[in-house]
Amino acid sequence: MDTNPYLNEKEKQILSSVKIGIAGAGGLGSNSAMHLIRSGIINLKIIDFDIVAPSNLNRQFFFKSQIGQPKVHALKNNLLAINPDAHIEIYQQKVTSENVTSLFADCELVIEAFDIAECKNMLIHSLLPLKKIIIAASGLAGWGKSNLLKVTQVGKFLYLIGDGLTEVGHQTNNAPASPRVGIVAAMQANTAIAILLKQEV
Amino acid sequence: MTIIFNGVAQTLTKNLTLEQFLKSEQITGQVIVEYNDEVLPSTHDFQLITLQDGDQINIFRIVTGG
Repeated sequence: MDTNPYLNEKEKQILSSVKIGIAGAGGLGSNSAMHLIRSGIINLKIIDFDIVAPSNLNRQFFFKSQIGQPKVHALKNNLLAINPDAHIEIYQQKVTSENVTSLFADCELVIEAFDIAECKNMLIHSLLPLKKIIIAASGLAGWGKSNLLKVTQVGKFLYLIGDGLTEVGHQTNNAPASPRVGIVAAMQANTAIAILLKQEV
Repeated sequence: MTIIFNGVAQTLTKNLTLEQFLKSEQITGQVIVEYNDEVLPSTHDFQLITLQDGDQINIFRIVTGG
């Protein structure tokens, strides 16, 4: 099924032939996957160990009825509700420094969508030697300051998105919230599509 | 010797390794180090890089949240 009738034949062909890996199915991963599927991406590989919790509904692309389900299963169902013809490969497991390169070996491009800084850094440094495009996020907590969220190309293969500063914590002014996490997730998807269609990032 | 650190020119009065320089700038924790347009692997020994005139160093902080 065509989810994006605004693409020309060449763009359609490019976006439907690529496989994008998504490391983490939380606020970043679930929302960027939604944008990618709506944009015309058909092949996704999504990896996450977690289950949907009530506290996820403030920003993640899940519904109350899905609480308790593995995130990858719930997300696959939600993405198939947008495009029933999409190929969504899911793995409910932890991504580690031991398995990360083999898990994403068949993906042309990887969206880093983890929560913890150490995990983000591990994924980036593990995948960079493979010369794959990595689109990672850093700095998205709180409200406001939308204009501080930006895309920075680092080296040849890494794109970092966020403000690079605001760390998620437990105080109300640095909690993860739907608008700011959603902006960064949309920017990750937007950057991925622009790179694939050879447009300005 | 002049280097560019995070986009700003900085004059160094003595020879420093990248490790010494990052220490002097109090760079710790989860960071990406871009050195002359290349991301350095985290396993790279920064003591083995002696800074040269014109070197460009950019530091990107990786913080929790997602």
